[in-house]
Amino acid sequence: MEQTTDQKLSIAGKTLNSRLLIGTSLYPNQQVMMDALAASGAEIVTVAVRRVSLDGGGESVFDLLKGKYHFLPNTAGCFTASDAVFTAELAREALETNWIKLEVIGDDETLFPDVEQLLLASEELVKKDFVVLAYCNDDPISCKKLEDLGCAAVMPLGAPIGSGMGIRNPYNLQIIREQCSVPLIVDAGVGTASDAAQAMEIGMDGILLNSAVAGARDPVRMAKAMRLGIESGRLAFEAGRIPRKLYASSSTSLNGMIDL
Amino acid sequence: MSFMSKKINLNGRMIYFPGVYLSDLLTSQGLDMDLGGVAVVVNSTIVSRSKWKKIKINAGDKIEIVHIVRGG
Repeated sequence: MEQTTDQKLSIAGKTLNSRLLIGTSLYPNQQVMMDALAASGAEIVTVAVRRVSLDGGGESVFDLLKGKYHFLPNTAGCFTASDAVFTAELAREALETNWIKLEVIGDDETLFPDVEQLLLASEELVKKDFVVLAYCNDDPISCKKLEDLGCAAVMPLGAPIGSGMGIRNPYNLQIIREQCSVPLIVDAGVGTASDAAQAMEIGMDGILLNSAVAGARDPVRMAKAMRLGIESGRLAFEAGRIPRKLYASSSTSLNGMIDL
Repeated sequence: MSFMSKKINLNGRMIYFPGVYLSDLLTSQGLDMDLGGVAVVVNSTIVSRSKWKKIKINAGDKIEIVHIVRGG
């Protein structure tokens, strides 16, 4: 895919051609998923680790996606640091990657992170040489702590997972951007392309999403819309927006006006 | 159930396993040994792929076979 922005996203020394990381859940069917992933331009796809069904059947997500995308396994469903660390180790064994999307959930209903457990898990995984991409609150203090612990990317939520509520606190994201130098990826909450663009305009380095594409009426078109929204927002960030002013300032000069 | 079968817990289910090695167990479940995206836990310890043919299964073992699935 042609990259229209000047600078590329680099995480843990790996340079990426796309600033979109995309999930593989919830698509209406396998073909739509494959088409949507292709349309998104993403190079990194998230996956999970679960028990093999003893009753047979089921697809091999590994065979389907290997060689086409880089796997980013998650620790979804983990409520404690120890569960998340063990799941990360399972993922590393299964996929031979030390990259992990670290989620440590505090509550079933909101799926907000448990920051205490998240910090513990991050510290331990970094020690174990994992490349940790940490899903966290849009809280500047915890984001900074995750950076200081050595996370390769910090991923504040825009809104609750799967909510499609967009960027609920753009001002916090702006503070996080000013205080962190590690790559920042908005993970969760993006509902449509303008949400992605808004996050990129604030200076986020990338977007991780799933439901907004998989649950769209036309996931393939929404995947393309997200790709364009992210590119557009990034370009606008790099270009630098004009300052906001309360009153108008004419863009057309009054010089040379005829006498009316 | 064969005479030599061992009762084990596989992915939360009690089964009788007549084989010897972990690799036999995987084969018995229809899992190709070269299958990617799979990891195995025996009694809370992750067993790396290179040891699948060496680890013996004992009665009472708790085994988890996991693989990569769709996720967000």
